[in-house]
Amino acid sequence: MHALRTRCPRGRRLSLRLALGGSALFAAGAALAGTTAAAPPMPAYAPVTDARLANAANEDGWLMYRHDYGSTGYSKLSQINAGNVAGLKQVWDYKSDFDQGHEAPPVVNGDVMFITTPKDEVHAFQASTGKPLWTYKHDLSAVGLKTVCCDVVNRGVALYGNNVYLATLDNYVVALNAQTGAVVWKTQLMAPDLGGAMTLAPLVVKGRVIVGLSGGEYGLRGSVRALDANSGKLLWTTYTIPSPKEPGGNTWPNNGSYKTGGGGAWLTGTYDQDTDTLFWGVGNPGPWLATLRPGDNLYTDSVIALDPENGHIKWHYQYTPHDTWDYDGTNETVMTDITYKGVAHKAIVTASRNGWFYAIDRKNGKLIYATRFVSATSVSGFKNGHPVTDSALRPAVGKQVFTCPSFLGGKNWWPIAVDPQTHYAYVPAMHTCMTIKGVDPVAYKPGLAFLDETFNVMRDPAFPNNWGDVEAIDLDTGKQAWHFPSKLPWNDGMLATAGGLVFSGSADGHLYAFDAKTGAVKWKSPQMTSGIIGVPSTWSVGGKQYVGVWAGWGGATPIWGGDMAKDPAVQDIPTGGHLYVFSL
Amino acid sequence: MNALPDGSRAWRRRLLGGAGAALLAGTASAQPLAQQLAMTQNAGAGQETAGAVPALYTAAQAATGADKFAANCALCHGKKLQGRVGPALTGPNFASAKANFKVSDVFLFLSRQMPAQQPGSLPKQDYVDIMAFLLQQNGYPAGGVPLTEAAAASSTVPLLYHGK
Repeated sequence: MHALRTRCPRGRRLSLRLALGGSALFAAGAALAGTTAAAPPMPAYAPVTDARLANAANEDGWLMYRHDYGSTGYSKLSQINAGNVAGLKQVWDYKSDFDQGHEAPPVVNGDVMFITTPKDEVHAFQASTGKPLWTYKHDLSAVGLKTVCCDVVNRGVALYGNNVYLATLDNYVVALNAQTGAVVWKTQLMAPDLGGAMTLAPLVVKGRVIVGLSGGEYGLRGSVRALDANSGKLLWTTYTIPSPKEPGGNTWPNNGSYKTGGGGAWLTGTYDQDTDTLFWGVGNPGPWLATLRPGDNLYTDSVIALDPENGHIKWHYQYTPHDTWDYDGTNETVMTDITYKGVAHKAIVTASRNGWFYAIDRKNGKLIYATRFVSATSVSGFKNGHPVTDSALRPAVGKQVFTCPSFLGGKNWWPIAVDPQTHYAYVPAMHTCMTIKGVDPVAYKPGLAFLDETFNVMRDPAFPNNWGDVEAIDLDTGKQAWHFPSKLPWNDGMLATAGGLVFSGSADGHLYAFDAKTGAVKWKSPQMTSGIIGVPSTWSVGGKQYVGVWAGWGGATPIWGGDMAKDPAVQDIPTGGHLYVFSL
Repeated sequence: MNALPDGSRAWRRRLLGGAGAALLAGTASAQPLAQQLAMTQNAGAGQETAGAVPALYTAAQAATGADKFAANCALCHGKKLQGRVGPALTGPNFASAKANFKVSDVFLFLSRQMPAQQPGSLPKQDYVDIMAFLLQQNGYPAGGVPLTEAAAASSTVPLLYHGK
């Protein structure tokens, strides 16, 4: 179906690699050196070019974190469909050595899969058979992991040329040779344990590896950064918190607070090829207690539009101004074209931590609409296209409030998918509220959290029996089309396919296939050995479609989840990483 | 490079089945965990210059703290404080000159922001006892004077790992 699926003869692969320049020459040498009789035969590997990334939506593989530059989480593969999904069977599996959260999707190029584990291991497998090809174990033995908020997770790799890119908990970006796992280069962006860490899958745009740092809970001044894909040289850094001299700097008190202002950029962004614009979500301000930093606190809880050439900010939209509820604005921005009240828009959509589903004009950052997808009281409405917050629901020192959603969000990092056939967004939602209160502030100390609030995640009174939900939202109206309530939290990303299916995993260890139009359960896997928070992906090799997902419960919910984490049904979820691959 | 986390071991135990579980269980002595760890740590601390490391808590506090730690902290930080989904709370990666923590830094953080599930929710004395346990597990010797909340909250003693 696609020319690129054809296996390239070895000579052609080499010539392409040589064309990439100096460091690629080194990589080619390493690959040849590794081609010994003892080495397992590597399936043919076609370099990942700019053209292939630009056309990832039409590839048979899964070339990047959310499948394509639009972050759709949607594959055109349809061999597995609503009519035959009941015949899905496990074809191979792999058990990891870790009992922490396994969040990465299988990233697949041709017949080679790359997937990461907690604590920054990369494993390469033959995608069709599960045959192990190589493993890279990042050395964290001298790292305290003190500024990692929400489990020692990693959300996967990026591919470019013959390299695989990993962002690590000690702030390295590492380029590995895709065929051998050998380190091509590694660049450390900041020392570990001082506020920053990385958990996201990088995004490669036109030869630049784009990453963002996590650390909104640890007094980081967040940033988005670009490195040269061939050399690892840092090309630009855009801070998510402006200094007093920069635009937006006046939204912070002029007392140096911007230096510890948070704004982690801890999830992968989106790239609009038509306008050459990156969209990147920015996390919560620090400290959490807002009374300590009067102002809107840009660009926290915002999406920023960036020029990938130099990182300059073109525009921004802030989901939650002057946040005091930890409502990160990092959640996915998915490109989709919508018609709202009769008017066509080129939009990005996101299901925000603050409980509102936003459609924003991707050319200029203007709000098209926002609708609640869970109970949401902290942000009470909108005025002139901007959110309005309820001042009565702002905590202060000695003042406790009850508000919705909890800081874990109406949705956390688990990515939505957008299906062009149904024109629905599929949203893994969470029904929680919280008590939250300011405490006497403690001076910022590098290596310790910077919150100055206490809190407890509680049930949403409107959903007394459900922590979780899978929701389909009509993109043209923002209204719910169907939903699938869950007693347990639903902490997994969404995969939509042209087979009329939506895949996502439950906390009790079943991969579900929903009818994309109706929400009917068309298939659910046998129970896995752990709950699922790994992003599912799909690919085709040799004319056969596969679906893969990590089981491996963990992440933020068990750590920060208050009453939800203490629910015996949640406490009983077994841990341990286990990758499952299915086919017909 | 480092030991597998507890949970992973437990998971392997399940895989190994009954015989493996019995074998692994058999390797643990009947002594309480705190005592086992204390013996290890004291051996390490003994190598330090005598008198260099201040005694800030009593052995009874550390023993109580070990129980409180097991109940409230071990899920994230590991039963032996080795780290799991949260950081290790013993060793040079936790407490070092580079990290630059004072006892009060860690105590104020611990008593206000932990456990992450419900920060500040434990009785004050539990936080003091857990702090005593953390000191013990980082090679500080027990003494005759109990650690108090006021002392822990104001202590300028550097928190440095004194184990081996």
